[in-house]
Amino acid sequence: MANYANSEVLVSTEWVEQHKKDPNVRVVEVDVDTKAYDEGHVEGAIGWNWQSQLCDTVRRDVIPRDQLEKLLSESGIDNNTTIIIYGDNNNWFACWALWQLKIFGHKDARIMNGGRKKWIEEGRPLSKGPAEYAAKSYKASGPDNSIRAFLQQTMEASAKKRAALVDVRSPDEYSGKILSPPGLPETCQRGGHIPGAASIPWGKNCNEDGTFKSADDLKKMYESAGVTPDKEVIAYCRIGERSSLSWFVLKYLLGYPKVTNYDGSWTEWGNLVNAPIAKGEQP
Amino acid sequence: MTEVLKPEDRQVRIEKEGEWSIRIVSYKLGPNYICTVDNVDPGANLARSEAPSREEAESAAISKARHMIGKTRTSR
Repeated sequence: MANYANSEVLVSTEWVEQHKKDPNVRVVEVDVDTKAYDEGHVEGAIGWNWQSQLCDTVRRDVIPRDQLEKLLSESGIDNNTTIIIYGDNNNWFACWALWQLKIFGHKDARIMNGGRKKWIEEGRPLSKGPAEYAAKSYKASGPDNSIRAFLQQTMEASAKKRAALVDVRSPDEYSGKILSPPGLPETCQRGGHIPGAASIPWGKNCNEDGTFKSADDLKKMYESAGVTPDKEVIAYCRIGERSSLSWFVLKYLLGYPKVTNYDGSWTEWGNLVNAPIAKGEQP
Repeated sequence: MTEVLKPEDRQVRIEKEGEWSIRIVSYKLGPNYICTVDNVDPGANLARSEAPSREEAESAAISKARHMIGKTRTSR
C-alpha cells in the first residue's frame, strides 16, 4: 500500500470483505459516535465503546491492563488473533484503540483503510445486532509507555525544544479562537497551543474517501513543517484520539523511530495553572 | 439470524450554521433513512437520527446539531 514503511498495518475494505470470517481474524469497530455500531456494522464485527470500555472509568487514564485482558478475552481474541480495527471519522478511535493495544503488547493489530465511511460509500453490507464469540484467554504485557507522552516530558520537550511537537487540532483550536471543536463539550479554561508546537491538523493525513495519503505526500507534509525522523515527535490534540491517528501515521506509515501520543493533550494542558501557552497562528 | 443490509443512496452536503459548518450525511438502510451531522472540522459527530424518510431523518439530526453547536465556546 502506497510505499508505507509498515504497510502490513493497513488492510483495505476489500481485504476485510474477504477475510472478516477467518477464524484467526477479529474485526472490531470503534466509533466517536458510540451509537453508530448499533445502526449497522461489518458482519461479525465486535463493537467497543471508547467512553466506557477503552479507558479507566474512575481516574483519567488508558484502559487498565486487567480490563483490557477481560475485554479481549470476551471478544473472542487471544494473543495470536489478527485484530482489524475500523471506525467513523476516518478511524480516529480505531487508531486510539490500536495505540492502546500496542501499549499492552498486542502483536498483530491493523487498521481498515478508509474506515466506516469508505465501507458505507462503497455500499458494502452492514449487519444489525451484536456479534458474539466464545471467550478466549488473553494475557497482556506492558504497559509500554515508550509510545505515550505524559505531561512532564511534554513540558520539558516544549521548554528545551527537545522534540517536535505536533498539534493536530483544527486551526481555530490551535490559535485559541475556540476552546473545543464546534458543538463538543470537553473543554478547557484557556485556548491556544503548547509553545513550539507545529499545527498539522489530523485531517491532512487523509484523502477525501477517508484513506491515508501516500507515503510521499505524508513525508513532504511533515518534513516541510520541521517534523523529521531524526527528532523525537510528540503528537497531541484535545483528548488524545485525533493525535493517535497522527501517531499511527508517523510511527507506522512513515516509520519514524520515536513517536509518542500525549493523550493528556489540551484538556490537560489548557486547564493547568501557570502553564505556558502560545496564542495565534505561529508556533 | 443476523440481518444484513446494504446502505443505499448516500448523500453528503455541507451547510453553514452561524459561524460554523456542518456536514449532513444521509443514506437508506433497510426501511429507514439514517442521518448524521458532524462539525466538518475536525469532523466529530454532533447528532444522528433514523426515520422512514430522508427529510424526517435530516430534520431531526440537524435540529439536534444546531442545539449543540450553539454551545460552542470561544476564547475569552
